[in-house]
Amino acid sequence: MSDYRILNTRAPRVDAFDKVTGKAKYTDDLSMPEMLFGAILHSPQAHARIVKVDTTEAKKLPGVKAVITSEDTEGIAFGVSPARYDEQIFASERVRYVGDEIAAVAAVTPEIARQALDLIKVEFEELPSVLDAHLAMDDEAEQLHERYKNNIVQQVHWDFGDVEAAQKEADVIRTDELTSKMQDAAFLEPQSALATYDQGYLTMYSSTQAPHYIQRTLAMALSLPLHKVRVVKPAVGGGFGPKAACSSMELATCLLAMKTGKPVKITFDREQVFLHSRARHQFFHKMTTGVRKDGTICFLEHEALLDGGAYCSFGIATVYYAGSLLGGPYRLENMKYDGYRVVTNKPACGAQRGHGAVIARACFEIQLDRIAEELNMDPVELRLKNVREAGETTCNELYLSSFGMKEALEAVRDSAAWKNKRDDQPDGKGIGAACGFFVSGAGYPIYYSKTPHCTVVTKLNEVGGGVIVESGAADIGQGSDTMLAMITAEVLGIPLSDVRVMSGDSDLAVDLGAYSSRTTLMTGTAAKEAAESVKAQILEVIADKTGASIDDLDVIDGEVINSKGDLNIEELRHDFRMEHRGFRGIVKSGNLTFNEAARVAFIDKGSIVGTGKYSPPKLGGSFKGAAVGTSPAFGCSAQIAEVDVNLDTGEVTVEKITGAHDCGFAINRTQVEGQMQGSMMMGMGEALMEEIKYDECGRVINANLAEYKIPTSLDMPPLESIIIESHEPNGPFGAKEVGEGGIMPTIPAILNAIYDATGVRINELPVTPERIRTALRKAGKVNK
Amino acid sequence: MSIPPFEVLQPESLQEACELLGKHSSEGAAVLAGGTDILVDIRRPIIPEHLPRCSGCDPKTLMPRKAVEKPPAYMVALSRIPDLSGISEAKNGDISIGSMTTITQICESQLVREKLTALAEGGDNLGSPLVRNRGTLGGNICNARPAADALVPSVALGAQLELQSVNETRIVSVSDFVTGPGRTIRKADEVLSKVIFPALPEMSGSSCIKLANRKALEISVVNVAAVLTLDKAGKISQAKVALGSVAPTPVLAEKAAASLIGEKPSDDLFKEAGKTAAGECKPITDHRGSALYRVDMVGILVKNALQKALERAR
Repeated sequence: MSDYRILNTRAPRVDAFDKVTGKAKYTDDLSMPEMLFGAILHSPQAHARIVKVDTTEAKKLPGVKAVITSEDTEGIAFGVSPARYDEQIFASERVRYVGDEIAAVAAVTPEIARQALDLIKVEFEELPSVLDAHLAMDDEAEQLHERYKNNIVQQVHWDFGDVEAAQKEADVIRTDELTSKMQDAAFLEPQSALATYDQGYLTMYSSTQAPHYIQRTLAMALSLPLHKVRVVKPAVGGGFGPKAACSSMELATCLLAMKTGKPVKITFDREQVFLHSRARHQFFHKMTTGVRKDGTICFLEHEALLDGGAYCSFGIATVYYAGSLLGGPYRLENMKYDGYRVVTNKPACGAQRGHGAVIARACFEIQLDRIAEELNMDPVELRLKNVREAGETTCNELYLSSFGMKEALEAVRDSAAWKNKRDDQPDGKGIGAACGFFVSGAGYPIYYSKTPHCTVVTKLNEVGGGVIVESGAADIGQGSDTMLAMITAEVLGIPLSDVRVMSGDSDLAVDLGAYSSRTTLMTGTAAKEAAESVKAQILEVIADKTGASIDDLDVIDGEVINSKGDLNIEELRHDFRMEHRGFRGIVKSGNLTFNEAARVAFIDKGSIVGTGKYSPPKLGGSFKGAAVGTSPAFGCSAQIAEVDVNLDTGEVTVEKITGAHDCGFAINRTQVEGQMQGSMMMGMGEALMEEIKYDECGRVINANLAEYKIPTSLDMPPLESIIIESHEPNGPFGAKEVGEGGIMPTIPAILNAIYDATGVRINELPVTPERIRTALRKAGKVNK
Repeated sequence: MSIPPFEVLQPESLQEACELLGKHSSEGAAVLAGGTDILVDIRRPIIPEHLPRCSGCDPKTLMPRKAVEKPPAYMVALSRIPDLSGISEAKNGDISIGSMTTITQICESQLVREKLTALAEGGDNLGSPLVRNRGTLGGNICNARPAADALVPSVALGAQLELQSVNETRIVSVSDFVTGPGRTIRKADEVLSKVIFPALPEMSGSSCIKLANRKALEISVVNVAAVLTLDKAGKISQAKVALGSVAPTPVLAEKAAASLIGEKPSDDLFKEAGKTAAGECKPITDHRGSALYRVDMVGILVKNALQKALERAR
């Protein structure tokens, strides 16, 4: 189906063997001679002034090598957005959530480290805690940070087009609300960090998504030269966003290593994953949308309140994304947005798959179904009437260079037999559809910089043959190493097995990391450029040595081919054979192999290195906050969910999800489907069961995976994944994102299906059996 | 994961196990019978307990729940004791299940599926395959959680427990055995050796239904087990209904069961029985569900469980 040998296939992942056999090393698997074990003391109180921290007894415990508190950190502030550096490694003056870090210990065993924590005394002076996002903005509310008046970290006020005029054109105007809960990413591997400090060089191995940002934060916070800080990402068991920011645990691990001169490792317990969070915010959305009788969308007025817990983290971007990504995928020329991101005394929230946009998308897509009902229109038809096409620009100046939205929606409609099922379903069975829209790589880094977003260094093996791809990209399980290997092998015309990828190490190359669905488009482009450079350098030498024209030469299936006839390779082959007396398998006849060519090129030029980089073009409008939501390309997706609701108990069985996603071009078809299916699974969990629960003191009461529910294999329905390929001009071979966009339609598709099944609307996530039963009762639909 | 240190003792006879439990009772000795509950329950909370909590904090809501006040210094493992696992049917039809029989063994037993269907279904609902492979019937009963998946059907099926100590063997009914969440009348030096399910008459059937937010690895919002026996005329001659997660212990809905005796089974009858059962429980509101929803669901689940039991009795 394509002209490619390697791309667009279902090549097995390059890390599959190691992962499946257990050979892959994750950070917590690493050990070093004389390594110490760290432990962190977390605050038991949600909001309190720290009167005194006494570590005297802890320091005396035999086996304890260091105990550190805010006194050892020089009051350094850090965070995600440089304009909002509001975190400290250890709380110095006050704690702001149950889990805030107060001290850390390094000891010869984990058990001693834990015992040392039991010996640290802390005196608190309780402060009123703020646990409700709405109340947080009251003038009387206790203020968490001096700099955030009314506890507001960031507010956004946008007004695109002319909403007021559009209101007059609308025949139907509806206002709807949707509330979600804070959610956890539930990755398999809890965060872990191992730091060493040797002759002024700090090296940290960490289960991170973004070695580059971590490197910068470590250097800044620990006052070290950037070039003497190295961050290495071993195998990572999922990230989904919460591992994209530097944490105080990572900083504490480094500090302990610097203080003791020995390697130090800290690995989070699952409970700490929940306490640290940095996962999905809580969203309160209110949307008013107007449409004409024929279904044309006239305007959207959108208010959002985001509860982000105790610190800013990614919060600025989150509140911008919540507004900006409603600019697509529909023709919406008039859009007003007022967004507020507040702090409360709960674990800080950050980025999570579909950053900022997931609940806003759900609210809008649910509302579209309600509007369709009022118009007596098929909800899929309503959407098809409004979808944008490639070449259009949204009201907030996002340019859609490729856009298979219509194709995706039609594909799921036809594959799921939408019309038949929509019209003819027994009570309790329902079907619902929704669309989604997402960036394919953030247009700007999180700190102000004109840096390339990534570089790739591809080096030819000097002995002849394979290549090594060096990249800073973070394969966190999504398969970016495989993507880099496939692109390189395709460009060089060699087997996938001859490409070795080294990645996730800040010493190898620059890469902003695995977030905002950027790696395939950005790092993929850099890898393509680097491989092309290597190939050109080899062919240049071969052309020179054989007298052929470089324009006629190519590498196909591992052999150098001259399109204008035979290549004079006698002498080259002779030299190669002389070099390899005693070696087996040296070719005697046939075309010049890539191995031979590579060796010839090295002998002529020395080490052959190709480099590539990716810098996005200038993107976005000139309005405040225009940078967030920009991207060199946009992905889009549509899904149809089918549900069976038990009207007696409220239990929902999702029977099938049919999804279509426009990824531009599938570098690896299996991995594209894997990302789509992972998104559907995660979206289904967030729709039906996922919710961080707090008690009245701000403590997470379900800080484990027994009580925080995500779907099990028994909950998962068959998932159909349809790949749409719109050939993105800004992506490598036409490829763009699939990592996050696929989650966008899942929640609203399921909620729309539940409405179709039950006739009751539920405006609070997750939609648990109890919430459905309660809604049925209120609607008088419960049999007495 | 932070688990306080303990020593594992591995007796090779029941007598030795009882002696060890008695000998170490003052330092804290727990029975290890699969470990799927206790090893979770003794984990230390991440935030050390000596740190001052805020004034409004209720320590009871601390997660993970503190089922074990003081972590045991010894774990007495029953895995090396012969004859504690296995399922057998006596001549009189009583079915005896060794306390160390795993939940998987119970679920895979044709005898249990046929004659103690409610127990097999309760087992199906318990945890995940990994948990069922390790967890045991004795462990599930002695851990005494009000939602326990094997305990609730055992109550409905009228299970009798054989408890052995150094000097004595006694038989108690499972309903009398459990006195509160995590609390039983088991003495420090006693070991539950087997669970005896009295033979059910001909024309009997049983079922167990669980309501939860997902389909595996769940603690019930409500679970219900029902047992029905029909007479030759097709009327109900015996009935038992057990409710889980609605009180500190599993509850026998005696009024609901009594309302069925002598009646011809019908949907209306079962629906009324459900309502009666709903009046017999006093659930609490917690993070898994509100009291109101639980009472509501008892009515529905009792009706559904009775219908399933009836199909099997016929």
